[in-house]
Amino acid sequence: MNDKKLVIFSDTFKPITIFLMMIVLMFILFGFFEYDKGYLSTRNIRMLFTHMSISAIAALGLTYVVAVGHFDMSFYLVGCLAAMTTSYFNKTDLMMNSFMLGNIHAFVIPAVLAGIAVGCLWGLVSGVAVGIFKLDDMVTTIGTGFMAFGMAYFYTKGSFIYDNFLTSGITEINDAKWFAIPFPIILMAALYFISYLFLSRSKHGRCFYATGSNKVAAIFSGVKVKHYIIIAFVVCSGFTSLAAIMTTAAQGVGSVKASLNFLMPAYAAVYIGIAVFKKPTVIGTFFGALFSAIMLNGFTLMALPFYLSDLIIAAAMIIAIMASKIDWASIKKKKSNTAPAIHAN
Amino acid sequence: MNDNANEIESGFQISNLFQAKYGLIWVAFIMIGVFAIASPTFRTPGNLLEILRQSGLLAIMVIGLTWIAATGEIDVSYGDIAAFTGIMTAVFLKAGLPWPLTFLFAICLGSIFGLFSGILVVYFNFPSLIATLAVGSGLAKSIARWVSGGAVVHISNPPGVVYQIVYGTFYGIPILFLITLAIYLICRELQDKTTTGQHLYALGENRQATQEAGISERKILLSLYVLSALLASIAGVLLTAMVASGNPNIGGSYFLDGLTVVFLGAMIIKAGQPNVIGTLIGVIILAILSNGLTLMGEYFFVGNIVKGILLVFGVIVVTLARKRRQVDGRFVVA
Repeated sequence: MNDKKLVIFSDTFKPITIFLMMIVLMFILFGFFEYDKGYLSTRNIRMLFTHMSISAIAALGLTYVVAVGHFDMSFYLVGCLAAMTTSYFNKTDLMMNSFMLGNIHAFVIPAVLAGIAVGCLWGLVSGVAVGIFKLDDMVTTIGTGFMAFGMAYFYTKGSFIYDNFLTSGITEINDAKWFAIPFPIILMAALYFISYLFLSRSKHGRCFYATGSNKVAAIFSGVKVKHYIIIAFVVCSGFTSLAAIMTTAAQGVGSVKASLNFLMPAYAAVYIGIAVFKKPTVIGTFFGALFSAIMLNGFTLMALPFYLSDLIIAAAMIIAIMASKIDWASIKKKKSNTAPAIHAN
Repeated sequence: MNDNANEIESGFQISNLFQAKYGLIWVAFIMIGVFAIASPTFRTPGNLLEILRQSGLLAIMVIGLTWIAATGEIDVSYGDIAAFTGIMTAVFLKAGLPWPLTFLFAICLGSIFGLFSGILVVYFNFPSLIATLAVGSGLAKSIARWVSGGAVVHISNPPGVVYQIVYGTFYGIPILFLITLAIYLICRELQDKTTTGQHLYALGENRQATQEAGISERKILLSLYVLSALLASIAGVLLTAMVASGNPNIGGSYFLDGLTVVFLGAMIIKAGQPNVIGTLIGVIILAILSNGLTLMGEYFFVGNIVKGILLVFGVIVVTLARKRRQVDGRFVVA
């Protein structure tokens, strides 16, 4: 019993310690170089987490798909469709006379739900294609994703939607604050907490990982593999749609390219998490996203051009994964009794 | 399956042309017919030759992807590597370097990305999607933007020889297409008549078995990624010559097209396996489709949807064929 506890301890807390050390190091580095620019000010930290929340939620969705041993290349394109759907329904004046909830018109909520529903629907399409028809995940999701992206153009032929953005209260998704904490951060914390309970602390979570590590074994163990794959894709698309809608709210304009730059940060967060935790976990993804966010924030304060953000994130991901592979090969010769690296596809 | 193989050995028969594995060629003819009836501009010889010329670039870019897909891996970096090489070409030419040196440098620099993603996949066991994603849209695209300052780099006049390659004609047929055709015929020989070519498909069928038969998986995969980047770089140089500018963001527009043509091409010739001749036909079909849709006044995003559907359809055919082979437990070497 004691041994088991020790294993659990080293499994979850050692990686967290590594991450915390890395993050503290980054803070010290950037804080040292940019103290005068207010890197460690409350305002900047709050901004860091607000910016992080969007890519972190998209990465959280991707964690589910990677946990069942698949790749999703459609999520960032589906997000565009969801963002445009929400903007479009936000534009319609059908319920303009509706009552107000605080500073939010009641029709904003159906609009957001419609966006997420459309996103989930596309996730369902990808999930059925991969889970039931057993098509190649990467290429199929690229296909379904670009279909969604093409459909995102149908609403306005590609032009922006500005209507009702300032009056309907959709921007409250980004601007609202509860107890001085911005709403995106609360949303992120809530989704991560729920996902942690679901993936790491419940029977269903074990089934996700069982599906990811060995499908045949999972089927013989009575796991409904197909269901979990479909759920993973739906959750991924749903979360990304939410993140895309949050971006739309933050930008104050409905754009077909709302979530086009999610691809790299989301994969980087998930795979930096895997590099340290050896499997796709909610905590790992969180720290991966936090790690990239700290770096991006720091480099942005250093006035690095925006187009280098992907370079930094990609380099961090490559170094993280390479470091984890070197560890495996040379230091730990003994066979691990923990879960195998299920992402090796 | 066995009957199928025998039929091929027995030589050419007219009835063979109506087999499912040549179906796509008939689709191409039907498409040409429909567009020719619908649009008077489409059926002019000038437009048809223009389609051939425009298909050349994409065709050169995706040969590497075709073979990588045949081994069961994936490469999503070709478009961004082409964009990177294009930028480097434009920048070097602007700096006053002579063109042969420019092209040599640009193509070498582009190939380094292929080497890097190959090393990541082969020696560090990266999933190929993650490696090529990080190298392509992470490194290559960002460095291209860095070098160009995020903007399009214009060059005043492309050097004569390359201009001839891109825009010249030989007895009315675009030289670019003739070169592409030559490259494809050589690649077909390599793919079908050499042992290395067969090893590609062996890797795609069963990694374990191939390794145990003593074939170096690492050497093949590494050289494939380098080859893919090399050909993408050549396409990038030609692209820069064609549009007289380097654009760091152009990679994205080749991303979907490349995958679509490879998996469309997998439907024909070698039922269910990516192969070079299939890819070439796929490229031409896609060029016809884009051209026809544009001439009929459709928005470009309709093309996105159609390509997405074609891609999924291609994957379905590949998956069905793979499943059938696995059930049979035999391989079709044809």
